[in-house]
Amino acid sequence: MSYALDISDEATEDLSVLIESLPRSQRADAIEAVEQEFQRLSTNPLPKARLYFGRPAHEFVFKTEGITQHWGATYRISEDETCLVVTHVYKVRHSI
Amino acid sequence: MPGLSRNAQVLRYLLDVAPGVGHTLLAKFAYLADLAAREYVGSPISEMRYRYDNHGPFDAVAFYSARDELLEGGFITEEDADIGGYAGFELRPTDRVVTFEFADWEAEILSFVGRKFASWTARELCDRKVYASLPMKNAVPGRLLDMDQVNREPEELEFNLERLLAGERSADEQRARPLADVLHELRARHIG
Repeated sequence: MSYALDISDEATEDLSVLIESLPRSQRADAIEAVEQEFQRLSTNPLPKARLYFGRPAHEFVFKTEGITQHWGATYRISEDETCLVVTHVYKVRHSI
Repeated sequence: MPGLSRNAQVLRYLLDVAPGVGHTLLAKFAYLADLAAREYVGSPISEMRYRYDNHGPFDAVAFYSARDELLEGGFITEEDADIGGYAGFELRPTDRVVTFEFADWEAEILSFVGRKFASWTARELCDRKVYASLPMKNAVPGRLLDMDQVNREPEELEFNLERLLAGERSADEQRARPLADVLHELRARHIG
């Protein structure tokens, strides 16, 4: 089973800013990676989810022109379990 | 009538989420909430200054002052209780309404800590969370803890609790769209 994928307006803004933070030549790879990761998430959302204050997050690594990017997204699943809504997209920070 | 002090608001909020806990758990909840706030936002929620006390991090003066403020104002009750074979206390909120002055992220952290740890014993909480925390790892008994070492404001584009909460509000208000549409627009804008 696969969930329909939605993204909140604020998370859309997060994603746009993240994409724009990359050099123009790397943006296509990043959009492609985001699409692949979210599609993967929509078919299998909970395993290995990291939790932020009880919210599941999917964190993933991809490369743009040989540079490693580590991004993540928090999400929630609708009550009727048909839709997965992305609520925040961010760059993963490294632990202190 | 003036509002409750910051520390009293913190304790009462935690008791609203986790009624019936004793002094030890309540004090540790405040510590863990401050720790999470420092780690994720860069500043604490309460005004407590934690010292390495007999039972871990504790600001006895601030804690008991806040508790007394709540008791005297009729905001909480305190009853004797048997806590795991030891004499202790159970603290509970009353119906008296409190106007909390917390930012959304502060309320979220307090709620999370109260919900997550309400069913833990004080021993479990201390062993698994409190003593494992960075300020306690290099703490000196009797001395103030170096809480500032965990402060970290999120850098731009990093995980941001306020952004997460805004994203959830947006979803609650049906301000969300199919991801495919958004990716299509991003492609059009950046790849053309």
